[in-house]
Amino acid sequence: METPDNSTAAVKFVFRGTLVHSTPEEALQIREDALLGVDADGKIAFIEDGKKLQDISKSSGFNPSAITQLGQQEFLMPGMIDTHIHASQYSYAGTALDMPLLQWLNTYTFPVESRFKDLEFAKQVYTQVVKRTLRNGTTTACYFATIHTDASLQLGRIAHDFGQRALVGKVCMDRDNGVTDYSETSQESQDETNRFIKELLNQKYPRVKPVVTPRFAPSCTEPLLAQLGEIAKNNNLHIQSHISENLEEITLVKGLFPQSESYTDVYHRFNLLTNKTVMAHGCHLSDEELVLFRETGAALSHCPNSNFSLCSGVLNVRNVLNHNVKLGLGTDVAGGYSSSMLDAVRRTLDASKVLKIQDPEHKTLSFEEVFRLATLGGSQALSLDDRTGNFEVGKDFDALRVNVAAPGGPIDLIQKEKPQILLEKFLNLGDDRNIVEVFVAGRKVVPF
Amino acid sequence: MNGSLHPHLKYVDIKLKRGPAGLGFNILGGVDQPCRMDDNGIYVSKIKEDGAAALDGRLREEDKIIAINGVSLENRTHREVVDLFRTAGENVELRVLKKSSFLTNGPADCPPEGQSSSMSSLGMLALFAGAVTIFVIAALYKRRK
Repeated sequence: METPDNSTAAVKFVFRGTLVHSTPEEALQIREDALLGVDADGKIAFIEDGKKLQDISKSSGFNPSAITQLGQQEFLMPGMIDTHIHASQYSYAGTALDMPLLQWLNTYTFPVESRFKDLEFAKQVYTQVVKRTLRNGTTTACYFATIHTDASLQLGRIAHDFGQRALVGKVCMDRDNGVTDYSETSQESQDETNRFIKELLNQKYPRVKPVVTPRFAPSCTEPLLAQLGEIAKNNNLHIQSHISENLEEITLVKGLFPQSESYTDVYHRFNLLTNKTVMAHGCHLSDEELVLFRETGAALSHCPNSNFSLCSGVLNVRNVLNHNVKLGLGTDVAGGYSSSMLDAVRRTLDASKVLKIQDPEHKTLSFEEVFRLATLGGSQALSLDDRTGNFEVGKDFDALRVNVAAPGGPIDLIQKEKPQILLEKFLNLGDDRNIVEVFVAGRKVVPF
Repeated sequence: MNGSLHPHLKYVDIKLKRGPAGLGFNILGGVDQPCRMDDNGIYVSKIKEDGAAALDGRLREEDKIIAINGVSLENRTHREVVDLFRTAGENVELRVLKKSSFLTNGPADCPPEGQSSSMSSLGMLALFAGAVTIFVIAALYKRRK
């Protein structure tokens, strides 16, 4: 619906108060008493000084007394971005954390994922996880579903209905692991992936898109990996998988792909390492492998809760960032037990400090840097930073209204605090009681 | 309301061919501008005389449009729906839930200054052109709180 002269859409609502976000140059940028206007397309129309209210109201065409004034202990921040989460594993989140990766997959994961043939069960679990992550402030999620196409389409529909921005992956796995019958034939995997992509794109959901998802190298034959690389290329799609999560897995991959120089090289050979690729974990990547990530523009999803819970390893995020590889955070439900990005932030800080305990020379991550990883970093890792991740005019308004002093909430304040302090308290102490409103593309999606 | 079978609900599929002035009807609704108390779906607000829909005869005012060419209109913003109509091509198949006298939807709760969108090509004006005042926007926003 364009205006006759294609000018911008009208202003839908305006906030006045403290804005908190990140830029590529500054891990934390704070603007107090700012005006942020959102237009009818859900995009940020302007960010100005509060003092200019009268002038802006005239030039942008809105009623200055109809704006929303944020409270003293409130701020707006960009929505958090979960770059790696298994929506299907939400049903057993918080449990089953007594085994390392390969055994954990066979004992817990594959049996649960195979239940998603049942669409009723799928609908229940997927509705729960979308609602829970939205309440926790996850405005964008990159989901693994299961091998089942119809249930995966349902996840897409549910994310759309609740207004969450999402990448949804129908999982591909054709290598018979000899333990469970949760698997596909190569042909099935390709055909169903094509069907999934076609049907999801057909729905024209503006903020829910398919992502090509080979589970990980040990689950996929070489022909399948090659095919999936083709499909992603032909349709210009995102790609997600796992890499280098734990040592046993790496040894397994060496045995299955003897001609590859490294785990990274396996994916690279099949064109699965692109600038729209996000790989989870990467705990044990060598510097040479990081260089390959940098060259192809591929990103990592750092999932420290899972890395601790399954005793997988400790990723040196500082080293990854020094190699200029894009990095976001992930909850990795249910390897990671928490569906909250605030938990991912806390575990990221913990992992960084563990490395310092082991090596006093290590430069830990600051909370400001981790805040950036949870927001802008995530959008870069998912190649969505042109439309979300921070507050810039023209980007979509994906945001959280945070009230650090929310009544009944977990944070006590004894005095007026600066915004940096409020943010740090929220990141370390807060929970969904402090997230009073959630917006995606200008639409208020929480409260439901 | 989620498409489950119900003895009093009547779903029909209506195929329309886009005329010179478009499809010939206006719509209201969307997650950002719901025009029913507890339903953010898309409703026909006006059938234009001698337009494609009027000449076909089956679509009526207050019918609910569920999908266009197989694409569901559920949980979309008004603008997204308008874009889907605009890009739907020459031949448009609408899945429609007919307004039925058995249903107790209650009175339509549409905003007085209809932000209805016209499904005619000439009428593809800006949704939010100068005609819509900020009062309507603010009133809607307050009303939905």
